[in-house]
Amino acid sequence: MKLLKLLTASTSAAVLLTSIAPSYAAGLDDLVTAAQKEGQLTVIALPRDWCGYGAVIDGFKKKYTGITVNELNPDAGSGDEIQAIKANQGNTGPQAPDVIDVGLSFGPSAKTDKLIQPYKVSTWDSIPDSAKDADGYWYGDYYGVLSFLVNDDIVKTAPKTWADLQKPDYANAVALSGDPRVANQAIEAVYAAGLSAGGAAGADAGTKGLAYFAQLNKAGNFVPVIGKAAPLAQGTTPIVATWDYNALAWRDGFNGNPKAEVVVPSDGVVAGVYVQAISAYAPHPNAAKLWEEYLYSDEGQLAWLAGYCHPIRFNDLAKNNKVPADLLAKLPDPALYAKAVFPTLDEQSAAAAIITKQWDSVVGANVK
Amino acid sequence: MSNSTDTLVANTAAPASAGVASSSGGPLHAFAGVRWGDYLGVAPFLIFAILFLIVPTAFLVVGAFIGRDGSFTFQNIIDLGTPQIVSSFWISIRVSAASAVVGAAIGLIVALAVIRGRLPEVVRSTVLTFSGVASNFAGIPLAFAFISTLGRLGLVTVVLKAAFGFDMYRAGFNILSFWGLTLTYCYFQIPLMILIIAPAIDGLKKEWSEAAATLGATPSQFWRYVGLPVLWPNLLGTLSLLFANAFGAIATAYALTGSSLNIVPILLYAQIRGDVLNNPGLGAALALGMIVITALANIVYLVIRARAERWLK
Amino acid sequence: MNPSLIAIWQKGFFRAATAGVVYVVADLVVRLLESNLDEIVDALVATLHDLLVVVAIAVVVTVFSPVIARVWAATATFRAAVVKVGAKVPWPWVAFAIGAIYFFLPLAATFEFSLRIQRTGYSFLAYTNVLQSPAFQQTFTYSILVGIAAIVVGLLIVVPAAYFVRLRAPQLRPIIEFVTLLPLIIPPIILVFGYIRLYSSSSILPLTNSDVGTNILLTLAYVALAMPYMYRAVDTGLRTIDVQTLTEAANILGANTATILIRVIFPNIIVAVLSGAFLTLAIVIGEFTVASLLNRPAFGVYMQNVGANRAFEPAALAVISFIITWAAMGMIQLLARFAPKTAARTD
Repeated sequence: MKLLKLLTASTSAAVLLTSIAPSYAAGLDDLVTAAQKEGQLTVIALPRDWCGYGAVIDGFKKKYTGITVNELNPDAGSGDEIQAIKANQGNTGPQAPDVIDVGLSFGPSAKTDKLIQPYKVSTWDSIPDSAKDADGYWYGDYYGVLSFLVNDDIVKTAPKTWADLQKPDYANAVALSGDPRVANQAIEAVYAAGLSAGGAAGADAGTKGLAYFAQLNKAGNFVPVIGKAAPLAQGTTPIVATWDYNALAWRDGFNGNPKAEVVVPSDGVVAGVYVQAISAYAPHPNAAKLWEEYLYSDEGQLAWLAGYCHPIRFNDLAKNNKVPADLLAKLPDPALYAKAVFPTLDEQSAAAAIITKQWDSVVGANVK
Repeated sequence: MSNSTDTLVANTAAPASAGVASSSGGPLHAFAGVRWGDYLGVAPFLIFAILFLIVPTAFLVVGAFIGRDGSFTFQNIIDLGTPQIVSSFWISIRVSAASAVVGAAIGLIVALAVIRGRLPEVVRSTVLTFSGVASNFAGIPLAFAFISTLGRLGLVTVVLKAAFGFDMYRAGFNILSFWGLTLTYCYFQIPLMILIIAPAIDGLKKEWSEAAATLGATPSQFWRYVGLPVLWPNLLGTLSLLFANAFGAIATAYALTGSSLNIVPILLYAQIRGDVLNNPGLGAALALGMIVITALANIVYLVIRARAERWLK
Repeated sequence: MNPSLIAIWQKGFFRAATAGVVYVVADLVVRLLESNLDEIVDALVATLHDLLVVVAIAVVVTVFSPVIARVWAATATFRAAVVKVGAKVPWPWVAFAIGAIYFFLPLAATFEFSLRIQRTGYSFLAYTNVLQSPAFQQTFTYSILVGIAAIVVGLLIVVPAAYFVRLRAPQLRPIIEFVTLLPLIIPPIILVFGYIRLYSSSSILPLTNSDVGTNILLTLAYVALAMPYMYRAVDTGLRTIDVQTLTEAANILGANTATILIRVIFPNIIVAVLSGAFLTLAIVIGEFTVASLLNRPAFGVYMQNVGANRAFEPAALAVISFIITWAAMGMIQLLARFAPKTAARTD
């Protein structure tokens, strides 16, 4: 009796599964065909070294032949990406981005401005609720914590905290990795500095962060140049505040010349989530949707992990034992991530409003 | 990108005066007596010029006077008075002026040395060839070259520290500063100066220095009373050209300082890229400001050049 | 009072005053160059302060000018010796040497920096990295192709125009020459800004709407940038051949205008055309502003990208870029030797 019940149950389950699976697979196949007919995907602000995007793009191109990927402006910040959508409304040419990858706080404002369109990927449910828009307009893709990349050939003792950076040892050494008026990374760095200076989460940290950088600038420690791998190696910006995945990727790229180390400051560990969205004016909407499906598949998420980014579905993947052990070993100490503060949307937008508007007047850092 | 006009303008000045002599009845007089068939050959050139030189510029110029609602307004021009934009024009003018003056001075000295200094002929031709190459070397490679030389880990910095114990950066020097950028700009300003002033120095007739020597003048007296006054209009004109050249240059500054140095081309670049001024009309006004300044400087150059031609005939 | 003493005082005063004024003006100029707008008031105040100091010094010098004059006279022999030594110094060589150092040093330093990619010893690894990277090959090929396209389009536009102006419509010369001056007056960034605004999706000629259209726009922008040099080269070439006689002879033999241009005129000015072509190529290879604003995968954009992300490869790229520019210019010099020197008609 029990056996019969078991048999019927399993058979009906199998029938159910096989009936669902083909329709699911059929949906994806249709998307693939439609995307291949569009033939192109335009992405923006994706440096090849950022989260291993180079490998991600190449993997996408290899898996879905016939779709060329047009990589616009890898140096753009989140603000530039939003502007690119605005500037190209109605333009179906190669300057109009299909998908954007912006800081968390840029998602809701893009939704209000009607610049993005909703889409829920097939793995939607495994994305944490706090990192996605309920209607599907934007959805978190990966996160990391702010860290310092230090050129050990120039800096004798690496700083351990945000407070350390104010010391006279680091004269003419500290730089942000973006323009704090438009780039999410730089805005979050100012926020983290504010938190380390005792600011409360939200607008207060923004104000204290600006005060911190004003002091850093006055002490002569701040270099008002965008810090990246090259200026760091060339000595222009020996200490760069950037996401840990960037710092680790750049350190690897140096191959020991110069010697560099990645330090996560212990007095202000801020984690930042980035979100994906599809432009409301995307010239190739199906290619865009296929791209999102690829990014949120196990393959795409693990590709980001190989680029030192924590993919948003990390917990889900870990639970299902999908994460290779060697990849895990290359990541920084999980204890650091336990301490990390994830600013909420409201806190971020309050701080960002203050930082972007008042950077010029409070800090006034320009090349003299 | 730099502009090397050298003999181009020499060719322009002479024929222009010849052409003007024959057509004195206003601009349309130029078209009298020309058969329509001849226009066919010149047509592609003129069509290209109209479509891809004149109209885009005119479009921007007109766009500077159009407000957000599409009506004619001077508001955009007035908006140019915001502190950020005024200070960016000011710093552009400063950098251009500094690199023009320094470039002109050093270029003049080198050109004089090479042409009148009785150096071997091969030196002169090498210098002129090199000037032709170097004046086109602006942009990203130039910025890398100067970072490799005077950057924190640059050759000169390291050698000074190793051999003389002199830390340039501790003493306050920084390649990423106003004077650092000026120094970098001089790399294409000096060759441009040499190229343009060389024909003028050639035009200092030998008879003049011989006559001065006969009258008992020392070389310095010759330069003070004869040489420099004759060259003076050319110098002023070339100064103006160098100013315009530096004012429009963006690639070098962008590669050197990113967007930290707020010169006008970089501000315009950011505006085109991402509408950072939140006002398309203001961007057009910015472009109009740039055109006015570079056009004025170039017109000054051409006018002075035409008048200086008299001395050299 | 002793008139000669008064004369000495006057002379002393004027010399001190002139020196002081020169110093104050130079200092003011330097202060203004270094100051931001809000610092200008400070700069002017500091200049005023300097002026007071200078006046004080001028007064002191004037009072002591007899003494100074006597000391100055006493040093006459010493001064004559200095002038004699100074005359022996080969100042032109010194000036040339300083100039040579200023121009040679950055090139040497870049080359040295590019070799430092390994911590131990010099190696060409940066060069191999660059030359083998697919991005380099793609962008370099793209820029070369665009350069060739710009040369061809430029020739198609410039050669007929120069020919007709020289031959039949010299009255149009001022207009043509004004047009060739325009790209030098209008900075490239403004040209491309105009293109983006004018030829976008909503215009009659929506060139930015497609890859092909944007490539065309890029090519035409480069034609505009290189036009002054192309026109000058072609015009110089036409000047040295006898266009009138050649045309008349070809006409007598029954050729139409197109045949004359292609089979008679063009081969005769090939040297001039080639120098214009190399100059165009040099401009296109290094160009950054237009390509990056039109989002084209050009070599200049690639160089800027590498410059941000890699430490030693940018130096290798700079050296490669300089070698390419030098090679192009060197070709022009070489071709100049083969240019026809005969000028049957000079005008």
